[in-house]
Formats: sequence, C-alpha cells, structure tokens
Amino acid sequence: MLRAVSERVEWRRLGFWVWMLRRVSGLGIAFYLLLHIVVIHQLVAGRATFDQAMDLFASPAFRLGELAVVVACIVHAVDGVRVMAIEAFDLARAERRMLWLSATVAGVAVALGGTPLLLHLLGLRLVLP
Amino acid sequence: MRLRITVPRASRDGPERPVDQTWELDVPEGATVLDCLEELKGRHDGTLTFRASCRSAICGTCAMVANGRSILACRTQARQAAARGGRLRLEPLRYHPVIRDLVVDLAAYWRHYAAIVPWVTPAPGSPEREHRILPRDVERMGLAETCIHCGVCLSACPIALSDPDYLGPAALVAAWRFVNDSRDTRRRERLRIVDSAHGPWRCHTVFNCAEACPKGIDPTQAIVRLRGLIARERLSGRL
Repeated sequence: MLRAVSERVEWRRLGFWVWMLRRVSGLGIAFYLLLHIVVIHQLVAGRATFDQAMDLFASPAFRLGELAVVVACIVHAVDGVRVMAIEAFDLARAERRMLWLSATVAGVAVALGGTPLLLHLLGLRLVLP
Repeated sequence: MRLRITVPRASRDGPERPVDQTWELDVPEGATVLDCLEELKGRHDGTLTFRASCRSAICGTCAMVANGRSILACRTQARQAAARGGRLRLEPLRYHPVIRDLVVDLAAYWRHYAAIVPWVTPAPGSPEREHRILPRDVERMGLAETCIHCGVCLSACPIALSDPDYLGPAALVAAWRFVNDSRDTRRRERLRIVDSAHGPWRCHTVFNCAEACPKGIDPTQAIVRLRGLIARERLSGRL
C-alpha cells in the first residue's frame, strides 16, 4: 500500500506534508461549516429539537472536534498568509524560513487558543493571576 | 556497506506489471547510485536497463526515483539515499510510461516543453551573430537557463498526478526564461499560451520541485513570478 502511494506521489518531502496539512485542514473547515449550517437550521424545527442537537455537541468527542476546528482554522489561515506572502512579495527563495516562521506563529496561536478549550474539555478552569 | 538494491524489472506481462528484482552489493564510501547500477549491469545482470551518459549532472539522462525521492543517479550517493538496513529501491521517473526497467518515455515532457515556444524569435534587423543582452536581463532569468531537462521536478510534483496536461515546473521555468529574454519578440504570445488552467495557476506552491532540482533551480519562484506577471498584464489590459 505504502509502496503504491510512494510510486505515485513524492511524499517524502516536507513541502508535500505542509501541502497535505493545508488541504486536509481546508476540507475539515468546510465540513465544519456544513455541520454548523445543519445544526443552526434545527432552530426552524423548534427549541426542543435545537436543544437536542446541542446536547449531542456537549459530548467529549465533539469537544475534541471543537479543538480540532480551532487548530485547523489557525493552521489553514497562517499557511494561507504564508503562501500569499510568497506570491505577493516574491519570497519563494525564503520559503523554508517562511515555513518555520509560520509554524512558530501557528504553534503560539494554537497554544493560546487551544489551551482554554482543552482545560474546559478536561473539566479544569484556567485561573489567571 | 552492503546495500540491498531493488529495481522493478520488465516482465513478460508488460511494462505496467513489473517484477521486483533485488541484489546485494558492497557499496564503497562515495559511490553514487549510478555507480551501483553500472556495477549491477556489468557484473550481475547485463539486461538491467537505465539511461546514463555524462556522469556529472550535465546531460540529465539518469533521473530516477530512489527510495521515493526523485534524483539524478550520478550525483546522489547510494549510502545516503539508502534507508535503514541498507535498502535502496530504485524506480523509474513518475508520470511517464515505462519503456523498460528504469527507462521512461519522456514524450509528454517534451511536448509540454515545446508548447511554450522555447526558442528566441528576434526582431527583424537584429544582429545575426552576437546579440548581447544586459547582465540584469540574465539575472532576471534566474538559473532557468541552466536546466538540464532531467524531469526530476515533474516527477517530484504531486500536482502532475491529478493533471496529466499540467505543463510542469520545467516548462514553466523555460517560459519564464524566454519571457525575460530581451532579444525575443513573442513575449505576449508565450504568456497567453501559459495562461491556462494547466499553466502556472495549477501550481499549489508545494515546493517539491525546488527541493528536488539537482541544479538548484527554484521552479516555484519562476511560477510565482509568471503568475504575477500574467496578473499585471491582464489587469493593465495588455494581455
């Protein structure tokens, strides 16, 4: 299986995985938006139906999904800015440096945005000094 | 160091159904993948088929895939290309029909290259012999003119998998090179040719081609610049 993939596409390169991350996070966000529209549409069916749908999203699996949405949005946005910057400012030669810079920015943003969500998921509360 | 070298060989069932053949070979420090292939052909199996000529990354004929990475066999050291345990799997370049073993038919590559009109059409009255251009014009071409047409960039590009008509990094690098040639008169025509769904707009800035190019050319840079140039020309109504 792995050999068949290897024969068809050059996946043993960092650029390939960054590209895959961009594609997968984009698809994930699109799926989330679709799900969001479907859930909000439940309001039309009445309060009870909407509450029932919202109860479903209180489960740990969906909480984890919320965290995944945050990560996907940050990764996709930061990588999108990186690609646009390469296009707009002719930065192709600095691609690797741009990649590490955007990975750092995304990492910090995920830590800042994801930590409260993760703590909430674990039933903990963030206490700021 | 002993390497286990595997090559998908031509079988009686046709080139699309190759059969793996593995040899064990003592590979000295510094030996290239091409050295190993020549050793195999000379001492183990004379029917092993591959292309090679200059042995010094000039002719571009010995391009192939080593352990999943597109390389030039003459400038890649076998020990470095091998995986843990000394496994080295050599395959033909991707996206091209295999003729035999490691030899592929590059007709599609050359067709895409020919599509971008890869020659200079000088204006009438241009000097017939030496036609000088300014150093800044040469600089603008980047390293594009050093392309050896090995096909490594196309083999490394994942976009070519989903679009067989994609012009590919090498052809687009050549387009950038000729678009910036001050001696040429077919700049707009060439831009119109590449300005298609199979041209620079198809590139997803993966940078595999830039990483793989054995001559240090950055095709993604040329593609990005082509996109910018086409956009500016279109916005100004000149294209």
